[in-house]
Amino acid sequence: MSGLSAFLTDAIAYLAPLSAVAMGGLATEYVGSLNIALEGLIVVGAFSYAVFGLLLDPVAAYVAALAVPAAVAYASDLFSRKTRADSFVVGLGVNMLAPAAASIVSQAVFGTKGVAVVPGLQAARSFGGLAALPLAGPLFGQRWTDYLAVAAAALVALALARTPFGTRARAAGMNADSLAMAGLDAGRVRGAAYAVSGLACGAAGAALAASVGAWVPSMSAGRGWIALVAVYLGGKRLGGTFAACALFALLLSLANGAQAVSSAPAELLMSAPYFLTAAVVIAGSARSRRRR
Amino acid sequence: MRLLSLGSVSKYYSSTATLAVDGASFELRPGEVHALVGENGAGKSTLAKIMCGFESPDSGRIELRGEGLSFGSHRDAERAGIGFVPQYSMLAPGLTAAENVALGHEPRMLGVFADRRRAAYDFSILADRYGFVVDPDAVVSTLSAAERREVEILRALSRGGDVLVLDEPTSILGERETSALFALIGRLKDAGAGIVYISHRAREILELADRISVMRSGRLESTVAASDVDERSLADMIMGGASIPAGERGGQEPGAAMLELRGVSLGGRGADRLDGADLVVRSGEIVAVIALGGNGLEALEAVACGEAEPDSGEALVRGRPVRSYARRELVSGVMAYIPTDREGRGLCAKASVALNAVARRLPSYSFREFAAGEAPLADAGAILSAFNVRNWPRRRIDTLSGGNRQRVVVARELERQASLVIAANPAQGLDGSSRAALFSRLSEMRAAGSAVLILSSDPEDASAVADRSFALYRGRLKAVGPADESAIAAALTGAAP
Repeated sequence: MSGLSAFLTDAIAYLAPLSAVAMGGLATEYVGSLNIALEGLIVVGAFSYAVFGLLLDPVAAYVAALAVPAAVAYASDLFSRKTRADSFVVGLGVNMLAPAAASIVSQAVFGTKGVAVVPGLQAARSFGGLAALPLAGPLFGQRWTDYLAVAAAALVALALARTPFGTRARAAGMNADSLAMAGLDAGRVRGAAYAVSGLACGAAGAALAASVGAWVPSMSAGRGWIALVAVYLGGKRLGGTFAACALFALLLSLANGAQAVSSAPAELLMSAPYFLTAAVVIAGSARSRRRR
Repeated sequence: MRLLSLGSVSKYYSSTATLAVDGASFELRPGEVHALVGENGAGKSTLAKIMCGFESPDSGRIELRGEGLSFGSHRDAERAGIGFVPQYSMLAPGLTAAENVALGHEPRMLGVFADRRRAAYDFSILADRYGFVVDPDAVVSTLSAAERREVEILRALSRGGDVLVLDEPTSILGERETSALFALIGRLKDAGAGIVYISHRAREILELADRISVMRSGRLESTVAASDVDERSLADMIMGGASIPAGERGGQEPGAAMLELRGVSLGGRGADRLDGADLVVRSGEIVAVIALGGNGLEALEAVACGEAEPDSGEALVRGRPVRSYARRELVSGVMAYIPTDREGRGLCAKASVALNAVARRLPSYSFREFAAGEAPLADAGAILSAFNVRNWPRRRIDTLSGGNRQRVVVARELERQASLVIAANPAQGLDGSSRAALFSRLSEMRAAGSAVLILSSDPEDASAVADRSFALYRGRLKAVGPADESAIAAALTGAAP
């Protein structure tokens, strides 16, 4: 594999889960209550995949990786709606609780709070034979979990753009009274959007855990936050959000690749993704300010 | 024969400790227009919400064609055939007209996907049937207030019910839209539908209604046949006795020009544009500009308040272009402004009544005063008492009825003596006594030297207090005699003089 196609393969592997998370975030932004717990939900998804992978089989593990974060997200929204708690604060709580809870359960199930390798959980690369194709090569030879993450992103995007659910979600975010006039419950629409965001984060978490075949604490590595940034940078629109995700994926895998070839200090290169994120955010907000 | 009946219905709001509806009994017959009148806060809107399933009553019965019903949500009421046109917009602004009407009943492709073309098609069929002209694919936020109201009416009709509840439907409609609405109501009535019509406008009610019920302090006081009342006695019923004072008219000569438009043209949304408008408003006079929807009133408002830059010509306030003023300067006593778009521009919907009332004074509080909250609360009380808004300074303003919100905006803007007052549809949603208070305050300000410009779609606003009146038709201003309603009507509709 040439350097360029290795780099693109890397970028696509990064983009797949990130786009799923961002689309999930966008679903909640549509209903007017952006779920800031995406980071924590990725952790829940990855950890569920590892635990159920150990106890059951990979397919059951994948289903659990989707269902558990969806249920957690739905419950967190239900909690903030019923108690009228601020959804931002509840979301922060989920972000802090998720790694802590994973750590406790990890001790009980894997006997360690650190990295837990689960045999047979690493997902196989699919369509490897086509990876040698010119141009389109990097699209193939990815893991099946990455393809499923892309499918999840596409499904969420399709639901938002082309189904009554998407229209209702937008209506809920713009004027909840319009749903009341249609005899619909804005709270239920919001709950559904939260469940969708949890499901998308689960697909991303499973893809991360499946890429190394193990549970690694902090393996989400800020993807949930970067996805939130992508939603804002993309102007809270589908196309824009996806474009922002692609930009991040390219920049971050560029920084990753530089670690292998550059003689710059390793610490600097490892922190490069976060600097790049900050730089893109600043550039993006400067641009939107000018537009106003 | 009764279509819909409410027996001894009561509704208590614990958040505000008010008994909004107190043992009201009401009945609607098939083929009748039943008007519901009363002061702001008399309980008309709450009663309407109970009929339509938005609120469930604490006690009492609801019967439709003799069968007892209880509504869990508006959807239940809708299924039973009851449509509702709310007083203020309940549309999703970023969706299209067709999407708003289809919401909750979206036509689908393959059982999953929203069929937008089908929704747009259904919308145009519906609009055609009822004689409305609205682009199905237009995003609601780009529509005029009158067009939005039409979308709202179409939504209520789209489920094909035989009870229609309209809450002050004409408050922002021009004459053409109003007569289209009346014709429509007539046709629905002939088809056997029952219509509940909430309004403050005596003339409309006499034209439309078969029976009239009066509400006061949550009670339904009496129901009379419309043929038994005349305009005078109906006005007394609506207003509870208050009437508009003539005011000190023409006591002094007007002074210096406060607002001057010189050959202003502005291409607005759709038909709403200005075409070379010249207008001077001097201190010590009230000038009214009356127009029906889509004739340039929105454009005129946007130019006069400095929101829009004219395509050509100038808009001067005290001899300086209005756009050259800093907002802070305008707010600090140069201009008082009551916007037509009350919810979007006149209020901060998520803030309390008190905060909305003192919004203009915010820069004058120290941080300590503001944080303690006592001074703003006391000021709010003083400002609001002028328009009899009481009891709920700490409530969020969007929990108030439309008329009460308007009273807050009017009280805030007319609190201090501004050099220039721009009042756009200032009486929208106001009941008789608040309307009287509004116009007497405007005459008071005129006597103290303010220049007042009233922009309205209601000719009665001009005849109430204006020294000079203009009709705006297709973007052009035409002077009309004050209080000459037939001349105004002719000019408004482009009829030959």
